[in-house]
Amino acid sequence: MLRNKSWVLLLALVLLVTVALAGCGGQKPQPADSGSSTKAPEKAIVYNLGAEPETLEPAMQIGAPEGTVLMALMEGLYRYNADRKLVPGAAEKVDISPDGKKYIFTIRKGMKWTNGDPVTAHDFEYAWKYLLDKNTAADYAYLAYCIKNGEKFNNGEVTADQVGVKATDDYTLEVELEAPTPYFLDLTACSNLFPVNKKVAEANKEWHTRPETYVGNGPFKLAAWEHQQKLELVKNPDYWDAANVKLDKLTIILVEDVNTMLTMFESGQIDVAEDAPVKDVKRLLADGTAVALPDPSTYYYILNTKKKPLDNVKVRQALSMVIDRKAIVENVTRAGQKPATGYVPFGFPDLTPDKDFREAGGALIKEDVNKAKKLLAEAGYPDGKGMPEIEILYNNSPNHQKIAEAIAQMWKDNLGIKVKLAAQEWQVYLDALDAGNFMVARGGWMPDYNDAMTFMDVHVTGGGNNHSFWSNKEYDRLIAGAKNTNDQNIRIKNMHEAERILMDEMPVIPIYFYVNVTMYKPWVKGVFVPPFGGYQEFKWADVEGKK
Amino acid sequence: MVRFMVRRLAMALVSLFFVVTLTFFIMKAIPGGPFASEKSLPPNILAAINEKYHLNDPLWKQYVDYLGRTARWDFGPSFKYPNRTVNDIIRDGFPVSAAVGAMAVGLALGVGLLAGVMSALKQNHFQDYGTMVLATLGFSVPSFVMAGLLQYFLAYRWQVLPPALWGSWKNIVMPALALSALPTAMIARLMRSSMLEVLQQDYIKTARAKGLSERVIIYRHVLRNAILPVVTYLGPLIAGVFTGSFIIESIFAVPGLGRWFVLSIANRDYTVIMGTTVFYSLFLIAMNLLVDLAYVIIDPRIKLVDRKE
Repeated sequence: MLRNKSWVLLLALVLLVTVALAGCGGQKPQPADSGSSTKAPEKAIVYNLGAEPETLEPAMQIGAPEGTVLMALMEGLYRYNADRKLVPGAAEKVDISPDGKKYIFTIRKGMKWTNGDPVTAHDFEYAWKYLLDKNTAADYAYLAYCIKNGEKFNNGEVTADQVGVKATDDYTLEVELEAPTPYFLDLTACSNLFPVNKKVAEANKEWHTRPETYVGNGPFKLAAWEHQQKLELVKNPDYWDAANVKLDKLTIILVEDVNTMLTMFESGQIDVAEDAPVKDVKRLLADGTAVALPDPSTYYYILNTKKKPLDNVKVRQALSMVIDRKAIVENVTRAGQKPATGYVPFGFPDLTPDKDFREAGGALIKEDVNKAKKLLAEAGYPDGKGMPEIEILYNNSPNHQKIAEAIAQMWKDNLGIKVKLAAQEWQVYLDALDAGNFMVARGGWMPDYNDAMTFMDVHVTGGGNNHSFWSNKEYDRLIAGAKNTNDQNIRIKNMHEAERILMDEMPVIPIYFYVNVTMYKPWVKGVFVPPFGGYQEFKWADVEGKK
Repeated sequence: MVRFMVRRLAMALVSLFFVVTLTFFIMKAIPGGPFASEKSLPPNILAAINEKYHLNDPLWKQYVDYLGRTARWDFGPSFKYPNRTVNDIIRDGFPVSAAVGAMAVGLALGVGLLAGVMSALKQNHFQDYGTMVLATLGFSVPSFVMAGLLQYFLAYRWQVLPPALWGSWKNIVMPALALSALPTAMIARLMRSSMLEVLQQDYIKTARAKGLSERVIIYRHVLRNAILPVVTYLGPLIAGVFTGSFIIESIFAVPGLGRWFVLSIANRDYTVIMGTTVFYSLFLIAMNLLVDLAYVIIDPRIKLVDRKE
């Protein structure tokens, strides 16, 4: 009998542990509101953001997921509308001095924070100085370096009072710049330059971590934030432009697995999502479920110009000329990407904002196998003979691998050279890139602001992101010239010229221009991808014709 | 008994110290850092960040600070998610993973033991072959395939369960099922082979010779002896399954702890790496201790005494 008792004891022990732990897990009873409401027609959209936002503090925002949420919760001085044009947000108007170095913003009167405080120019001054403060240690502090003494303050060389941003009264914000910056208004639409309620932030440094203490001034307010699950945003009735906000509720869910996301989208639990699985993109684009919107970013290969034989410009040109970019976007990446025709992607203003920098610059990339063979022979490697083996470095990912395999094959077949692939874990790869421990490496560039300069100044001599270690005096001169003038003619002319040099010297080989593939349910209206800072803009979102 | 416990606890502390130390130095030795990004930051900004997070302190100082914080069970904020502390992450994530894990272990034990016993008793009959084929499948089908299949049928085709996310008991079912496949197969096979071995022992023959009924023999003599390997396996199994699986939690968007083990390393989120590793080690040590205690209950021959020196 005793034996039986111990059996029961063991079983009870196992059960106890099981039940106790299971009990802990079930402590979050969430009313399941999966869209089955039969009440008044509440306009609601469920959007899958994928990754958990790292932070919702404007100054600390780095990635696009946070940008999307911040754009919904906050209002900067300006905002992009559906035509990708800047429209006034918290600013009513701006006066710009003739030399382009002084901006006087008039802040809209009567705006309120979600806690009832008025939104004033002081909140902007506070937020920008907080972004630049050395102790904040914000990644994107450099976005505000164009403000007078911004960089010096960030380095701790001057005091906050010497920074060129000042609220002269509650509704006037005066900004002085280091140099004329034609894209400065675009910057004010970036989430890093959004205002912060000074009173709230000074009283509680952690104000941005919980919905109860979160204070915004945007079209929506934060109602709930369950980590790794969802964020619930509801319409902000106190928003200055609330009349134009039609959506009552925006549920942002955080499902990272793309296959799960697609299952949920197709079974009607998600209305808006990005990042469809590669194998499904073609089908989704074809049946109209998804749209491919241009994403102003470039995918390229970096050639280490310090390593033989890539120090020879003819070798670099030959490598570029034998890549069939059309075949890569159609057979490998297959999501509607555009073959690169230059270095700067489509989507940046030329002389006037209605002209496109890429279109004006024309096609700068030539694909010509015969010419490439000739160039390689001239470089001393006829039919690839005697050419050292080329190694392509990329970070672990099936997509990068497939592209590298395709390009390696093109190089082998057309030039007769030996190529091998090397995949590395993300951070190891970043390390190799910085240290120059590679021959050819996958790379890419995303813009920080709405001007071709955000691409062009990457490749100046000694630039922190100039991983090819390429150096060209003429290029440096043209970029410096463009940076120090307010004359749009000179700026654009210099940048086109510099791009031609870059594409002739080929320290980087552009492969394709990215696209943003988004899936919208047919009843979702007015949601679009803004030029910068986020994936989707929901301010003007609407729901029409949903059963 | 008391001496045994004291000894075991001391050993646990020593192993924990080694885990903490090794993890710290290996973590620091791998390239990269929590603030590495594709866009190189201006050097002054990087310096300010390193200053803020004390990453420019000498390594020994970081190590000592770290040991102190671990002793106080305060792992500090995550570098990648600065608005959450590691303690928060463990407190929020562990109960979720444990709920899924408990159901998975329960399933694995129930089904696995039953299947194992049945196939041992019906050795070389169709029941035996049937369960062993299923067990081999459970062994070899990866959990993400299993998860994908479950999701396709239960959530997409038949729509009886939600495809992902967390909130009600319904959200536990699919992750638990997917997670239980491997341990179920493992337990079934363990139980079967150990039953078969015990059935051939002399004392079973003696029991039969005494004229005990088959039922009593199986319950009182065979099962008790045969279950020991399963109990041994249960310790690491519970530690592994209760702390969550990266793959299953990603597929079903379960806000558990499992993803942090993998993501924190990819992000070089130092504080999270250390916190989750220490937590896992502690849990594993505790489970193994429980297993040792369970032996005593099951097998009266095993006694928790120190060897006399």
